[in-house]
Amino acid sequence: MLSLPRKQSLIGYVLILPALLIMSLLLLYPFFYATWLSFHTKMIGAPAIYVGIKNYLDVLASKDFYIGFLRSITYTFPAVFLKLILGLGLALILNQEFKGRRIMRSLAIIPWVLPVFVVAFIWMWMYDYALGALNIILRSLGLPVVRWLSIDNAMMSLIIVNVWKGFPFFFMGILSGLQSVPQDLLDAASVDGASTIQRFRYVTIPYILPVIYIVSLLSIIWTYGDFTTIWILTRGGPGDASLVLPVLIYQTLYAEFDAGKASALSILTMPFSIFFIYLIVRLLRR
Amino acid sequence: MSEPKKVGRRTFLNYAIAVVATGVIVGAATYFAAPKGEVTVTAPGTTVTKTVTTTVTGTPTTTPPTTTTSPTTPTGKPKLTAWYRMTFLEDFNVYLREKTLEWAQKRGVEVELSQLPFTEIYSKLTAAVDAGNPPDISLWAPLALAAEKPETRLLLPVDDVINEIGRDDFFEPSIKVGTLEGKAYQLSLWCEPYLWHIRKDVLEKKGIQVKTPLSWIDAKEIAEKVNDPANDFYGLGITLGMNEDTTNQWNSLWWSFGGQYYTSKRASGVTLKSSATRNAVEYLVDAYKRKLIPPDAVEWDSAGNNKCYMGGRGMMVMNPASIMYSLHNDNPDLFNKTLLVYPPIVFGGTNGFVIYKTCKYPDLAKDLLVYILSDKKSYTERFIKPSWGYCCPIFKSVAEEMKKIPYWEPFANAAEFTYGSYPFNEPCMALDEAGPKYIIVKMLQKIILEGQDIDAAIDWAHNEYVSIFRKYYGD
Repeated sequence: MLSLPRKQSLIGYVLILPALLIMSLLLLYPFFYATWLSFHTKMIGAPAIYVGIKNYLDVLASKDFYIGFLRSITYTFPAVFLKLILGLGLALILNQEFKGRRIMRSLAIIPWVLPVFVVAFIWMWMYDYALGALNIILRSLGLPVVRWLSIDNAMMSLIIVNVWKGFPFFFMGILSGLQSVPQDLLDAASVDGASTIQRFRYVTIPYILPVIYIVSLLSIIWTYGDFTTIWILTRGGPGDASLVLPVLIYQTLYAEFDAGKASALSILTMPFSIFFIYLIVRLLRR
Repeated sequence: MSEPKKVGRRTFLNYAIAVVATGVIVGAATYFAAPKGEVTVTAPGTTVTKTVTTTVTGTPTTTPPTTTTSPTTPTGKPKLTAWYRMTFLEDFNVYLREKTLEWAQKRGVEVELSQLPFTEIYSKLTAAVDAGNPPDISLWAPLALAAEKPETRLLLPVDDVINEIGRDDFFEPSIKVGTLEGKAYQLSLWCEPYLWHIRKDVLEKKGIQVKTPLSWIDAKEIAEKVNDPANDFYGLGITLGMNEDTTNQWNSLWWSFGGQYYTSKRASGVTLKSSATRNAVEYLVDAYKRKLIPPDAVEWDSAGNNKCYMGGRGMMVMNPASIMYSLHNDNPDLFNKTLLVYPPIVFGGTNGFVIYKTCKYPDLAKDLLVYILSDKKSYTERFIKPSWGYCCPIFKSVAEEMKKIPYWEPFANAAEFTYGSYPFNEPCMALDEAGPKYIIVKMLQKIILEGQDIDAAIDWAHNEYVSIFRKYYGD
């Protein structure tokens, strides 16, 4: 590897310095501030008082934290799995040559481009027991209506919203992966007598697997941190049926006004995300 | 194929300097070319989902600024920053904007006014209070957070403003709601009483008479007479969902049964565990089990009871007049069929202005508030009347005037005894924390959804309140 002359590399460092500073300011400062806060009792409007690991112990001793974690997992993995299945299926269909394909591709990404609060409000109306579109359809078909946001159904209904909003991301990622599969290879496999399923299994999948990994991992991180949809639709209820960690953190900060405890809670939710970020970084290095 | 053109270090630096220099020149030109001394609406908006930021630099026409020694802005005029909460009432937002800018023009003051939806002003002000960087004035504030503890108090008393407008003309709860240690820290602007909205046509059909005030016991009796769950029509459109209206309706019910959150501000002063609480819980659980309340009420958001009534599923609901405002515009038939009655103790939020200690021009800020509230004629005509009862007057004289209009009579009567917390009606950080944590809702849902024993659920809620009170006020 060629090494740059000392002066030139110095200029390089100087040039990236502003970017580094901005990144430090935007990323590292909030992180370190949150970490610092997590060791303090910091009521909003009052000075911070050092309390050591008390906030962490309080959070770990609280039943809500474990409920929140469990609900977050219950929300995240089924949602990501369903988004993957839907996104993959749609990408395979819309990768075929047919008339209107471009329009279909454009329509498919509409849920993704809608702001998340708009999506939440749309579904809030769809789920309404008396006036919602879903129950109106069920009624008109003579079927029993469903209490979509009841204690038994709330999590499933939230997952449906998240899947509807998020599957186009999988679709777009996988479609771009599919377009990179060399046609020659698929043709060669056909000549060798491979069936459609075999071509998909042994040619297409290996090509799109890295994309699937990346979009899935990103989606796990985003879904795990989803707040808006749940807050608008259920506020963590009924009971604690949808009390995911972001809702718990929000309530700790804005109901208890306790920035220290909210920070400790945030820090404790991070190992999960960090694990998946680590996987992404490893994949990107390959 | 041609080689990509290489850019040398010197050339790159030259380009970079040229880009920066152009930016500086364009920026400076824009700054100096901008018109001065004119009203500038930088982001006009008309709906509650938008944030409206308005800056006005007025030309002095009448009274000069009362503070002359304070630092001034680059334009040489004193400047106030104001954040107002918006509501769904466009007349409301426009009125406050116009009055503020009108004042700024007259006094020759620069006012940077931001009108924010409630959810936004809540988080923005909380963050600003924490950072010690609040605006000069705000309409709505986390009052207890900003004023209850003397050592971290961020607000200025506004008793002189109240006195100048006329203390005797204010309803007593509207002053008490912002008073700590004998000083008022909020200048109330309006209250939002929760009233019974009842289907008059059904009452007439069944020959039922309604007393005023309508107690919760009587309301349940009426509900029993008209309840028809088989046809999706319910006597009580009471929300039991995870939203603030559940606690608000609970307050009205529970207070009327003799309940109160505390007798003194300390952990041992919490009085949630009481026979009044048990009676109120039993009332709701019984009504839910007997389907006087819609089964889906446990899943409603804060608009759930509105939709229940407006969709024709509820005989009666308890709500501020946002329902009437909507019905007036969209469903005049149901509007005319609605009877409004107040309960024995009225729950309702009271909203008002506060001035922050960091304000450089407190006299000007107070002058602005006096200006907005002393013009009671336009307050009545442009602010109160167009709200159809959503904004109820905090002035006795205005309420007396409004009582002459039959529609307004229940609102004007209720305004006199609308409480945010009964009986003390004072800022309380512990209650401010307990509300958004939905402790009351969770207590009710533990019984209704999880089948928990009533006493165990009350114990749980009581202990939650005790621990919150202990945090703020000790044992």
